[in-house]
Amino acid sequence: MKAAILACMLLSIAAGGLYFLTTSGAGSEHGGWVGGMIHPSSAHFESPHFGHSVEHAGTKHEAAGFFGQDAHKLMYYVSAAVGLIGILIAAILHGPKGWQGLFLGNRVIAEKSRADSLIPLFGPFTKIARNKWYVDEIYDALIVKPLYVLSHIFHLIDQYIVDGIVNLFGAIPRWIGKALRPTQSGEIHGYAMGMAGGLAVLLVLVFVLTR
Amino acid sequence: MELFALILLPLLFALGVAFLPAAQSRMVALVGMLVTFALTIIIASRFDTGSAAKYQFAKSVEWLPDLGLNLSVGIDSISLLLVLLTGLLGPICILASWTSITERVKTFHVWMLVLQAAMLGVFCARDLILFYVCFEFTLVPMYILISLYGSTNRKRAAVKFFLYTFTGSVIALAGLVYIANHHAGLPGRNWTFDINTLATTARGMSTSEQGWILLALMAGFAVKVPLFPLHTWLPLAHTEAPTAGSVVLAGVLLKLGTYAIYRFVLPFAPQAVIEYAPLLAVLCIIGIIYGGLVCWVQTDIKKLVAYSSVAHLGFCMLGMFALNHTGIAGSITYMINHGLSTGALFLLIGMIYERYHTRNMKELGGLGAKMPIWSTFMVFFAMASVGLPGLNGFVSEFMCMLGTFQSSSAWGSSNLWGSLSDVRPVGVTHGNLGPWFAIVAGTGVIIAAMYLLYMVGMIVWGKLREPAGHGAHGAHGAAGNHGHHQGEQHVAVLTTDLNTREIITLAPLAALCFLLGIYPTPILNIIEAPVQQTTTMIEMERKSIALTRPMPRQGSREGSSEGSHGMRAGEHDGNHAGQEHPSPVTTPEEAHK
Amino acid sequence: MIDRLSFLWPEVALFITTCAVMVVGLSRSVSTRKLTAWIAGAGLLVALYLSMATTPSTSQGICPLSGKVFSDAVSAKSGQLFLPDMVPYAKCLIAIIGLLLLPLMSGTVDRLEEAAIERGVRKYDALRMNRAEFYAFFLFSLTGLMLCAGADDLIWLFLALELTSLPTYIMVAISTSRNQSREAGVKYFFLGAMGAAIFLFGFALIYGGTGSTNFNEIAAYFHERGINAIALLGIMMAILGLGFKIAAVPMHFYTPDVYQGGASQVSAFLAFVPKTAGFLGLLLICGTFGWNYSSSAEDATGALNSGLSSVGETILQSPWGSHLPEPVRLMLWVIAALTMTVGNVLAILQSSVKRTLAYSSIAHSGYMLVGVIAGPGDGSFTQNGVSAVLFYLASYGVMNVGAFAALASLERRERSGGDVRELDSMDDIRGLCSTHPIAGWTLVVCSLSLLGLPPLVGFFGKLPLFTSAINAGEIVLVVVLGLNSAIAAFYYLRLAFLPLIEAPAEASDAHSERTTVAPFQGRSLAGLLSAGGVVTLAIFAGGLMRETTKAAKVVKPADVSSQVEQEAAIPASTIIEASAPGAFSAPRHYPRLPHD
Repeated sequence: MKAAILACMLLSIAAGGLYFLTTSGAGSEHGGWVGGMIHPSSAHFESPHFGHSVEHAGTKHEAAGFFGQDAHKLMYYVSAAVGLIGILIAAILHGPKGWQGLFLGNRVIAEKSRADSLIPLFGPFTKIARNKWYVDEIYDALIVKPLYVLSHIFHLIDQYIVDGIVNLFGAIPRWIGKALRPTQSGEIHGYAMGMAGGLAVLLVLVFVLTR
Repeated sequence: MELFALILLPLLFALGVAFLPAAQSRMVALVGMLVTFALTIIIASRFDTGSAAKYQFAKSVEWLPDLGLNLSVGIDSISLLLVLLTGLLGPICILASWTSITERVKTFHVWMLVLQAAMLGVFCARDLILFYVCFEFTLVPMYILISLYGSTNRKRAAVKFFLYTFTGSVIALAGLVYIANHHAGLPGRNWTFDINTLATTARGMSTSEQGWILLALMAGFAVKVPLFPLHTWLPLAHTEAPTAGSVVLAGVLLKLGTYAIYRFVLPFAPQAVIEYAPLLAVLCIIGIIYGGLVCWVQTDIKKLVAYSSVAHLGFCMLGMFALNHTGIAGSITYMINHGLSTGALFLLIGMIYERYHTRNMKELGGLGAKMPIWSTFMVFFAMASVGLPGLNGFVSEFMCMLGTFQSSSAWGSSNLWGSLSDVRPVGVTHGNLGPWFAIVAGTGVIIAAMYLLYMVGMIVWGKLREPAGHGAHGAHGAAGNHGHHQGEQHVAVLTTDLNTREIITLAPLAALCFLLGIYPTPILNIIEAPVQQTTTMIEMERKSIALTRPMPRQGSREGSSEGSHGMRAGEHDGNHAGQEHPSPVTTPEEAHK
Repeated sequence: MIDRLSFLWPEVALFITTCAVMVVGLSRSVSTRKLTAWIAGAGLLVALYLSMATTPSTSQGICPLSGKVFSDAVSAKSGQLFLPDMVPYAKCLIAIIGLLLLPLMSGTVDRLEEAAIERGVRKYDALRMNRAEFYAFFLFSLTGLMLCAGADDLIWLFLALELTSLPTYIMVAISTSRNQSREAGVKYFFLGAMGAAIFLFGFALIYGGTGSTNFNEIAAYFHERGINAIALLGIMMAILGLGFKIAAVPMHFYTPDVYQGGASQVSAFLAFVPKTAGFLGLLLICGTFGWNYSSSAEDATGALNSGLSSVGETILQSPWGSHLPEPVRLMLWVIAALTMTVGNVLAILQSSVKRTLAYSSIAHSGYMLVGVIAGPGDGSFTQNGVSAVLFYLASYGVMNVGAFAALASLERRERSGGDVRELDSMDDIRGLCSTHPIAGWTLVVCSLSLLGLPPLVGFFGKLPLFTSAINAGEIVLVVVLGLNSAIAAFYYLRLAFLPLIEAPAEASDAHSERTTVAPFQGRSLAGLLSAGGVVTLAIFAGGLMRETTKAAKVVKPADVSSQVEQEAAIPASTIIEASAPGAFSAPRHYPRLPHD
């Protein structure tokens, strides 16, 4: 019942909106007062082709449509009709006996309604429908959980890999230092060897590299 | 003179705090910050918005002529906005730390004032080395603030912050010196570090040189922004810093990096930026999504907001690298807005921390019942941070995304949208980004909502959860730093909900967030001229790249860079000289010809 | 004769002061003995005045010590003249830093002796007193350093270098009564002798290769005939030998042990004096061949050989180049890079402040070597690596003195007894800013300046190194320099912020030692002056930069090719004698090389 009313309202709103959007008010070429707002904005389509086709549709509004009716007006009526039919079906299926069901709304609890007899007709769909089509659960499993896992993975990556690389850069001087530390042994012999050896290595290096 | 006064005033007050007794420190510091803020307001009021792109209040004192180093200062509208932001956050930080800093109070306030001076110096500097000096010098007070007044892991955070930023800055210095050297090598030029002069000649560097410069400068500035993957210092530093430290770190110090990129990377290496914009934009987007997702799984509120800074500044830089008017304007507004909203978030977290001594979301919950005022502010600023339309975050986020969306030379070619290939909206610009970048970045907005609403939901709503030991009447606000409480007097017990002082710290930020959300026009107007200049320069550089290199097939129509802010009349680009582009369709019949 | 002496007045003044010091220091009366340092200070002041006022610059073409006056033709032909105006600047710098070091030295030696004499435990015994010798050696070393600056001859340079170093060996050995300083002194002596042998061998080879020991003549020879293989080998050995003085890799091994063994004040002395001597010598030697060589084959079409280095061929100058000869450049490059890295990397691991400062001293030598490689450029400050080196020497001297002074002005005393030792470990400097603010803040300011943090003078010392090196095209070296500055931040942060941020280690009474101020105000004074100098030099660096630019003024080579075509012979005839011919006035005859 509520579902039906909701459907009806939505469709009516849509229809009404469409009406307002598409009526050509005075002074705006296309689209009424909402269109009037859109015009100066940057979402302006300048492609001549598109403008052309829209314009085409606009000028030929009256010509298009079904059975000589304006497509928009038709939408109008169709949506209203669908809404009303929906209300009627809902009242029949879920309302209590009698015509009070149409007006008393949720003051009447339908523990058992005529719709129950229709359940076997629809089979498993009833259960799915009762559980909101499992939209929440699917959403949770498809999007929320993976994102959650992904977030944790990113967190770990951030903590260990990205930060790890940074810390690595910080650790490299320390390692080189530790490697070079034994050269400062305190013994003069070692130092003298280092000096003489370094001298020799440098001279050889330079002479070789500049050959 | 005014700008020199602006920089020296906090220093004078710092000296004052240093020599006056510790009991007066807070008051003197507050007065100092308020006076500085008042001065910024005066400067702002005397700013000529008509020539917003010109560097006003410019003054140059010769200092080291042998090095071409002068103390040159000057602000244009963008610097002005950041100066105002810095000035605003100064007294707010002092007020916020009124009760939380109980030991070594003098030191705290001295270094806060020095930090203020250094930050103002960065924004006002028109000499490269003066900029660098102030840029580097912000490290010392920040290090001291974090390592003296921070939480448990403060030593490591401070050292990491210092070393990381210092290393990057030294490499940036090499880049800056190279630029000056290039300038001096040109015929008839002297050595100078003046930014105005260098900006004109630096563009003449070859593209490969500019590429290296880009690398060097980004090494320094991208660390500060922070851009993925150079962001790992941020969560640590933010979490461990004291409240005022976090506020100033998030509010202003991160903007040093973004400001530097705008001021130096874009003018000095435009061709390289144009070339590498997609790569940089990818890094930004990774920052947005990665940073956002990592936020979601944090249990420490401060770390959550810290990572959110990574995500937000990813947006900011994305707009910057869109290299069009909307994008860059969005980026600059983002800098301001992020400073306001994230600064406020840190203030709020600090207030919680003072009362409950924990930042763990698992221990705190449902505080909305106990602290309605705090909760109001929390939700408000969280919404501002998320980018709820009506608040300031939305304006800048939208502009950044719009700029990115528009920034693609592929608009109008069949590469982009397949059958919609004939669609070429007005407002698109040349560039290498485009709708896909914006779409992916847009998911970042959703992720932002995810984690911020999650955080707000956990803390503000739900069942009331308080950490053990903090009963119904609120906590003692005695310790801002985890030091020893030997013998110092207990500060008065904090009220359960926010007291007047705390509300005063938040109110201006809230007001600004609201005002800038519904009426951002003053800011957008004031920054239009300099952003226009930058965009024009970038477009010129784009054209010169196009001229010197064979263009890839760009499609049947080349976009001209008309944006929604009324730019110059449609220009012809190199390949399609002479072809007039249709102006916005006024009547369908004309366009159909 | 007087003309030649005019270059030597500062040294003469110092020598007279030394004699006075040696006499006064051995006096029996305490009050007279106490005047020793003051007399030394007076002497330094006189020397400072004489350096500024009376030392002529050699831009008039006068050769400092030999008295030779060169005509413009020869000066021009010698290519880039070796820093004609450096002498006054260098001597002033030495005198000023000497004055800064002097108060630092107070109370270094004879402390226990004097205390014993005062108490009446001992009687005055001249043989046990070291004060006279200590100050005498101090002044001798500075004299030698000034002589280095004015050297125009290889032998003179060698003698000056030895005069600079030998006293330092003894100063280290007697600086404290611990065994460590004696060990340090011995190590220093042996390794110094080895270093001296290496550079003397190099000098000998240069003589062999060029036939002269006079810098001007060597320069003229190199200019005309290029650097032959023997001279090149000599140059490289000389540079490496000088590397010992500046603590460059591979001659750096002695540095940490010696700095740690000697007293802090003497380490401060060592960090400045031999380093300056080494760099002055390096600049003088590099000045003989100059920075006019091209480092690539691009100038091969010139009248001269492009200067491409093939050792075996002669290396000749190119008027289009702006580098050192390639072998020398390469060697200095490798040494610079290694020195910086080794110094910084080993400093990170230290837990002793003095050793850290020793390694930092090695690293700073590396930075200055970058300036030597960069060369004078076109002479303006930003392009002039030589002036960058001279500026850095000044700023480094000041900051370093400050850092060591902070250590020297305090001592650790046992709570129970009177055993006194120096501050050395990192624990000792914790919380210094709160317990002893003067020393603490001096250490903080000087450490941050050594790090190169703006706006202190260390940054303005590094900046011209950056600019001149980039101008010379040494981008890789600049990046290495930058990265090393960043690595240095690791340990300078500790040095700077342990005093500032940490709580003093002895907060608990369980600690057996405490830090007290050493009873020598001079040391704190030296620290204060240094810290003040660090800050004011940053603000008023302009004057110093002008002075160094003047000092590093470059004499451009005249049109080289035409000159060389004209003269096939040695320009002995153009050497004009200034006065009575002495031993050096005989015209030289250069041996012809086989492939000429």
